[in-house]
Amino acid sequence: MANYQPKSLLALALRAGEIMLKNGAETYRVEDIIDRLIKAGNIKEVSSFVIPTGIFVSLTDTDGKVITRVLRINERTINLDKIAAINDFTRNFTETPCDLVESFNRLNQIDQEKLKYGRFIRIIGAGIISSSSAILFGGPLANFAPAFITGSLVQLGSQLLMKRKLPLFFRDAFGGALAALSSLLITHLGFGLNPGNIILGTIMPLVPGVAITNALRDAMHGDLIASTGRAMEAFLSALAIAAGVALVLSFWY
Amino acid sequence: MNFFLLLIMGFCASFGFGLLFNVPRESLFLGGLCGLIGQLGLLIAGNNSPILGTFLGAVLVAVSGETLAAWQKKPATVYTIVGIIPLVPGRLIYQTMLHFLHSELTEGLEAGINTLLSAGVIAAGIVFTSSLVQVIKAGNKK
Repeated sequence: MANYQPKSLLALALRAGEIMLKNGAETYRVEDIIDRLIKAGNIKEVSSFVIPTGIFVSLTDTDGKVITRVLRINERTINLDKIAAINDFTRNFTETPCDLVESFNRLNQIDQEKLKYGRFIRIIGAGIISSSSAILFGGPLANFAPAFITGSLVQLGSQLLMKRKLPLFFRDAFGGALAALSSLLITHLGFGLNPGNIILGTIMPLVPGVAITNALRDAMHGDLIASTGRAMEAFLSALAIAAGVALVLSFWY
Repeated sequence: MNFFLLLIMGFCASFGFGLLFNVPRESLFLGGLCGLIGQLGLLIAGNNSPILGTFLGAVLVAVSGETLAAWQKKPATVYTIVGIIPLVPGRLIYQTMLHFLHSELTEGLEAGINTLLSAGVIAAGIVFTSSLVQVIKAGNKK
């Protein structure tokens, strides 16, 4: 086992945990990664506490000195490639001793990596989700193409909005409103059968289904605070989407 | 016919979310397959009770996710998060809030309880399977 400077090691572990949490890893996984990285440096006593909005780590080094750090997390998305990358990084670091500066550079490199799929491909992806969801919810096959178009349109709109740093609630409400409006328009023009089904499909890329499931997963691992936080976030975002849809529907009819 | 159509739609939904969730390229197709397997579980057991079908689907997704993860040397989340897409209560959580907005409180509560229940059984299916895998792995090492 290598001997690292405890302060630098703590900074490294915190950075790895930050990337994990920002990209949608489960709470227990973030804590596990931080603990393992720090224990790789011959430090026996470490305690990490992670919630969706922050990371707290405290360790006791070999001289008995306690070092504690807190990190605030502001943005969260889901990026599975980065989670896989940090997983690999941790495995390498704990198995073979590495240079701390080099490892830090590697983490920064992982953090700054661009999305694998360009804007256009993500728009197509959202279209596929919307059209297949419309069919899964019992819609007729005639709804497939219209839902594809509206789903892509909503993704395009939210990508444009993402550039401005707007609050999440507003972005979801806008997405819901755009979904309802485009679905109503496309059925009004004579494509697709029932607008309700197309709206349901169209909002599927936005809706926090995975988020609420992850909240319950955290609860089952015993991370109760993290779980309630995530559930709150999921219900708020669903409320925003529903508000957007309801607003447009009330104006239309 | 309808059965196979729904399976393919499950695949498509998971594949699409793979693109949005930035899944590694080599895992895109396999992630879609996990979605197809989840949809299969839902279709097999979902006729009598949707919750039971969701649970079966989640267990199947978790098992295939763990298997693929061991094979491809990737964390299992890469496959399970994408695979549970056809099961996840996205529509329910939206309907919960829509009912509340229209002040239909009873319907909203019903949808809300169903949301938590189905998210709960998906989480249970995944946690149950992954703990089982951990136990088996620990047993093999000894």
